[in-house]
Amino acid sequence: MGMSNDPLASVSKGFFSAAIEWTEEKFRSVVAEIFDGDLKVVHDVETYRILKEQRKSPELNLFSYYVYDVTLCQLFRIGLALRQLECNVRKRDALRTRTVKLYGNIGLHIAEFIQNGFFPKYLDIIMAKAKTETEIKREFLEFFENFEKVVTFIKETDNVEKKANEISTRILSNLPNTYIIFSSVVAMSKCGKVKHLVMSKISGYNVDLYKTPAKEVYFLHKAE
Amino acid sequence: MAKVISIKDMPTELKIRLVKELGYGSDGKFVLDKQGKEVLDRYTSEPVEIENMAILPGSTIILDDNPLSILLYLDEYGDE
Repeated sequence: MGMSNDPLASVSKGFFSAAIEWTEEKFRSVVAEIFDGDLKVVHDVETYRILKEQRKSPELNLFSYYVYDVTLCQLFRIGLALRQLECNVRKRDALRTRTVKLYGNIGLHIAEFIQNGFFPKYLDIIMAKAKTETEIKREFLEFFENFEKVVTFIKETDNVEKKANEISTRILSNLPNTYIIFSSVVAMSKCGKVKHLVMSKISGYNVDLYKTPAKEVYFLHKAE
Repeated sequence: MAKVISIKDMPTELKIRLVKELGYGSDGKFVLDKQGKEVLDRYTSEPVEIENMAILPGSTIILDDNPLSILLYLDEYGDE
């Protein structure tokens, strides 16, 4: 491969993913740059670039503005990474596995909430109701601290009545400001039936539907 | 700002030489510390393999090159 004498001469915008001809001179130059702290050496430049660019995401900036919790911010970034790696099943699944190891199933569920793009919709609902920033911050913290109690994923194999009873009992005993019921495309009709039954068992809640080609999400939120 | 390069195509022997230049060792599969113990990724605690290592500034940190470790590294050290 025709390369210039400087292996890093063609570094574009800080990233260099093309094959390098590893001559002794090039090797020495890489070692020197590592010692100088001027070089980051990875195997997968593309993923590094994605994760670096992700830090500029407006969604992340918005989340960080309201949520100071370090772990929640990390999970938010993992959620964005899962979304960005959606087309690479091997990398995405490896990230999911490591997320469970480090943060448990609840951590993965929070990351998936972000991955699925539910956060902006949730923020919309909260912002329409909250009167102060402090209220928004408090609502976020409560929501994520009680995440497993206020979010239910409906599977194709779920029994509609059983799920609706479980969800309405949770809502009636905890009275959360927001409760989320969602499903993937295969269980959308079941998800709608569960929501319908839940709404018939509770009062004082409004419902907003958020639909994408792959997901259906019902946001049940306390009426003013 | 530090540049980022891939060593995906670097021959394994050269990768082993590289970690030795940085004061580490290798048994051919894993990166080893000065005591000959496997170097563990600081975020996931997984042994770092020569064929999937990342070498990053911050007192020369050697990590497993997976999205979670890189993400947490960027969190801790920023992307300068």
